[in-house]
Amino acid sequence: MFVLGKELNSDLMFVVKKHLDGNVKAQKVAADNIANVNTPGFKASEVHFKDALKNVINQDRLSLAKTHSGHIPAINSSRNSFQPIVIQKNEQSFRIDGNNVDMDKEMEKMAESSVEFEAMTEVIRDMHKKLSSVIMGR
Amino acid sequence: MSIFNAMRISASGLTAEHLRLDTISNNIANVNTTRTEDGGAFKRQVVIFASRLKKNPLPYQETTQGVKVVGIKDDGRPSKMHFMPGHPDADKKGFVEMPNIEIVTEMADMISATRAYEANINAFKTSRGMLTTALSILR
Repeated sequence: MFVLGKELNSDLMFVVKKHLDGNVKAQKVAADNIANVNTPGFKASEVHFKDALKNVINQDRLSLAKTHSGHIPAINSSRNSFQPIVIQKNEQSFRIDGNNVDMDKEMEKMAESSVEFEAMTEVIRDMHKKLSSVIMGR
Repeated sequence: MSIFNAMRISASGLTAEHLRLDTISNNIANVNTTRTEDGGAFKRQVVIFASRLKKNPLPYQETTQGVKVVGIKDDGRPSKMHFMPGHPDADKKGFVEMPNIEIVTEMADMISATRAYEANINAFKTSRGMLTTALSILR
């Protein structure tokens, strides 16, 4: 059980989970933008999470090193509250109705999110296969 | 360089051709427009595309590629003058300034823009197909 806990709460699982959250949010925001392609004055939004996620992981690596077995590890408990950020894009467009949604770009973002989502689920599937074969013994 | 670079490049092509199609449609819609805000007849508009590729980028810089629309400009050719004496916008000699738009030219441009759009869609689908195939290696 302890070994399972270590696998399921590892850095890799944290990154994969938060990455999936980011991809889902990005897909939702892209769909929202597309739904509003004809709304006058509407400004498209976009989702950012990758750089922030990288920083969270790097910060954890730079945190207190244990040089003695008695050292209490400094667990960054705020890492679980990591959220993707949604930013509104206020760029001008050629349209007179003030709407700056670029349909093609939003479709491309959706495709990106779905490919990344699939990649992350492959990682999870792979990990489960390994654990499962260890548990089953085959 | 992201693995999604090819898809982003195709998306930029789609955006550009889409805007070109909008401009062509606008030209066709205004083929008989004699009044505009700047006075005078409507002038045919063309989109100006520019490549995004930076030549000889420094090693740490990302090379964005694809196309961007630099602007929508008036075609510089003179308007056509049609003899229509009864028209409210006719000048003293009975000539009305009409837009310098040929429907046939616009239709040809429209076909070109449509084909370019379709080609970009195919390139996009191919890139995405390659990524999805790579993912299926693990299965």
